[in-house]
Amino acid sequence: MLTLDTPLKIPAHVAFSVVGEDAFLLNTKNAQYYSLSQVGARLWQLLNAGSALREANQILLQEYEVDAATLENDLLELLQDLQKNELIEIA
Amino acid sequence: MLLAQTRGWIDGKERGVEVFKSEQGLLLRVAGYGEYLIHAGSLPAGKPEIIFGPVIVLAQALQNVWSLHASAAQHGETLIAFLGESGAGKSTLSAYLNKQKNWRRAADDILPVQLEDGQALALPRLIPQLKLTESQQPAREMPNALQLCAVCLIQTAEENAAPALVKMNAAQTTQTLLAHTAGTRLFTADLLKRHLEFCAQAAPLLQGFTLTYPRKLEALPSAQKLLETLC
Repeated sequence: MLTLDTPLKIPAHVAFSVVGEDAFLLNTKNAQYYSLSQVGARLWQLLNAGSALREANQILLQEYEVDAATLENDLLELLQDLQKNELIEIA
Repeated sequence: MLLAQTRGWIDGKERGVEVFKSEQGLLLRVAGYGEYLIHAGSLPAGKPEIIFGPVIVLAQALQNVWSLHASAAQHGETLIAFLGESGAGKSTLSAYLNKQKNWRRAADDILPVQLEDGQALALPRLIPQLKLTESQQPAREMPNALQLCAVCLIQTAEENAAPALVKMNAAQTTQTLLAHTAGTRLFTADLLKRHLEFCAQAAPLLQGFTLTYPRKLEALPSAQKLLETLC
């Protein structure tokens, strides 16, 4: 079960590219793409830059008009999906 | 020198493929088939349908030339690629446009593209169009490289709907390029990464559109008029 304090890392088999406000993730193990828009793409950029999840959550709270509970819920749901697709893993 | 070693679905079977760079060109070794030398302006003898399929696409990708599963047509100086699922009408549209004044077909099924000096360049002479006869090959009258201006994702509309051209943003165009590149099942992890970079870099350089029209010949003149607004 992921929480905001779960340490995460982007696996070496994942590549990504940012286009405008979107990000495209590639799992090179199965050649599957995954697209993230706006908040999801920003989260990815923060994680890739080395931010811990709780820190990224705080930054997103400042950058987007969203309440804390909704954001946390949405982030964890997204990250579980990314984890399921082997695009992110627990460090 | 070995450029790539991979496996892919070729001619109904999963086969090993090795690509070597030699002084004469690219040497492709397809398990169960043999070796084929590919160099500019020459078609390999033997089983060309194997080569013209995913293997030659792989060989081009290794040189950063990406093969869009697309037809294409040029109007004046404007080259437009038409992408879509098999049966979407790519070939029909480019064949129709080829018969219209000031239009000429640049590709029927595969359009090689590379990035150079901040431009997306189509290379229509690089890969023969398999479904066209020798006399129909568009490359005969084309320069080696043409700037690709726009990509249109063809979608089918209801029978009585008017054709429509709707702009895509760069992310949607990226998604379209990713989904409509040929041969990706043969790509190694490194090639997949380079392909993603290509699509992300090419999309902002192109105008991306969805072109929606009913699948009937009567709709093509209206589609043509819409496309001419891009030129």
